[in-house]
Amino acid sequence: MEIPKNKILLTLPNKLKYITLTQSLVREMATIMGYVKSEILKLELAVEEAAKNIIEHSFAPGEETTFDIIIEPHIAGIIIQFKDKGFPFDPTEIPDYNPKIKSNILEAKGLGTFLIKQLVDEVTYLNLGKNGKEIVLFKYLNKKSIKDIISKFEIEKAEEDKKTQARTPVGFEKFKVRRMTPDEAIAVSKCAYTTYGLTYVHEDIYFPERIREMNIKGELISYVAINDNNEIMGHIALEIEVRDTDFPQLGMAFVNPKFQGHGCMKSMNTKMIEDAVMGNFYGIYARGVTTHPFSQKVIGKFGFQDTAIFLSSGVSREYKGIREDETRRESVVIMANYLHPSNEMIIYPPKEHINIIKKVYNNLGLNPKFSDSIPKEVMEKNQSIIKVNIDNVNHIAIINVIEYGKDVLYEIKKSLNDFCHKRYETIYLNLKLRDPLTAKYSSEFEKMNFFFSGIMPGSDNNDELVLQYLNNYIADYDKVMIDSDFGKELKEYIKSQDPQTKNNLKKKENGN
Amino acid sequence: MEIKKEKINENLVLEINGRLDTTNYSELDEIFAEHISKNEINIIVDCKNMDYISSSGLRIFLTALKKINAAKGKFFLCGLQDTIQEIFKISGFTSIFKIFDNQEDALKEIS
Repeated sequence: MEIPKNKILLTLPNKLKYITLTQSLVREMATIMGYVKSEILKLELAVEEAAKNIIEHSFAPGEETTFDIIIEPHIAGIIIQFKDKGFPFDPTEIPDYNPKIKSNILEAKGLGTFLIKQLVDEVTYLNLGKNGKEIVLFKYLNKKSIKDIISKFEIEKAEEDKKTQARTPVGFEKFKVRRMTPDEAIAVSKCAYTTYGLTYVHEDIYFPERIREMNIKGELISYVAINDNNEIMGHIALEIEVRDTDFPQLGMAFVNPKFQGHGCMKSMNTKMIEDAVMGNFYGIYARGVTTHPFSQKVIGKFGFQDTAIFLSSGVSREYKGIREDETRRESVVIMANYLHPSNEMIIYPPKEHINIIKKVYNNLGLNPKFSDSIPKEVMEKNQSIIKVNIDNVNHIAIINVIEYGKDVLYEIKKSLNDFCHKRYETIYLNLKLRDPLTAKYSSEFEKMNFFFSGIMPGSDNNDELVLQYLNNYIADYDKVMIDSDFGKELKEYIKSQDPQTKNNLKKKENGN
Repeated sequence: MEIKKEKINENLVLEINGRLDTTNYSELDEIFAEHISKNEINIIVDCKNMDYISSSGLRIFLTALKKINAAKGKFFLCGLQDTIQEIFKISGFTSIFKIFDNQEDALKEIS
């Protein structure tokens, strides 16, 4: 196995007594990275539980073998990956442990897995068919947040400015837009704090060291608007995501209220898109909140078009100054701007959604080839490859079908039941549009009450059809604020596909 | 892990030093089993020097609690470090164990 230079690989015999070796390594790495003692203990505990699960449940009794642990220090935190070639792992078979139910505590079934999920920030399970399986743990490194750095005076001043709506007169401020320098990370975090308090959805922005290091490593490309007094007026960034490094997300876009109205956002967007075109990115996408249409309106001015609406995708954030009373779950609209579209895109959309998918691509100015027949050479394997991401902050689960196998319906149904039982609010199902089997299976997934969400953009024919499942959540479509006309049409289409709408319609027809 | 045993007023006080995990939980299990079988069922576990516990360790405490409750004995924990207390809280174990700040308080209650 080839391991990149910044990772550590440990191959461990499948014996419980060796778990402490892994813990020692994780402890030392976490110490070097700057984790505090209490967080290191949580990491050690998650590692023990994950390794114990593998040793006790992955292999036949008496089987002597090894499994791999890969430790990767990352700017934002530590990634610990467990890889083994034992029995396939089925997360749905782990009993659901609820610490509020006394009988659960007394039986303690599923306690280890429950602890893992509580002690790290992200857990990903990946079944690789005959190549085994992976469990990946990620825990943020919370170095000093801006709230530990910013002075009481600065907080009071920002609050005062907000109350009095103190703004510099339009036309008064001269500014320029350029890439952020590493030593400006603190000023950017302060600007975010001044703009949003601590309510901004992407918490990395409050950790200057993360912003600085992510920029140095090219995982974040930050731009700032800066005035003659060297004050940071605003910030915008491209976030290079692991899911698709050639199709980054536009994010962390804000302008200090004091400087709003000067055209900072427009200038930053223009500069960023110019650079992205030069940088040969395939495209850029954005997640627009739907509590209000303002950010969609701004993004839309730069050629971004609506491609999907993810209903109930996260816990609602209180955007300071914008409808602070909101407490419901937030839905987002996915907006994409293809900068270097391929002319050789072939996609296999399900025929029942072909019209709306064509409209999405027309709206984007793209013309992929739509195919409605499965090529003869497409063979289904026995076992599917499915990657599952669990987001315990927003209570959502994302199921990615990497490769279809004959067991795909069984596997998706099982995962869905499990996530519903564990009360995840929304379950998303991502299906590769370039895979002819997506056309075949999509309607089967919809029989499980998944329904159309839209297209998730990707580079080089990696676009995905996204289906969504609302777990006992009734979407209030009137409160999903969409700015563009096409986005409104997309919302109506999604609404018409929602099983809840279909049920209501049936009831009406039956006169109930 | 090191376990110190002491009899105070007919109560068994166990002091755990170090880590209680998958590799060593059986030592503690054996000690509990030995004393419960001799009907020594008023037990205090002093955790002030225990700096790590995993689900294996939590389960051992749980097993001991069930056996002692069934035998109408008393099973108390005391002196949990903050991080250990947090693990107990996350797991819901604070709702089923009697946990005291220190050994003195636990001894007052058990007698």
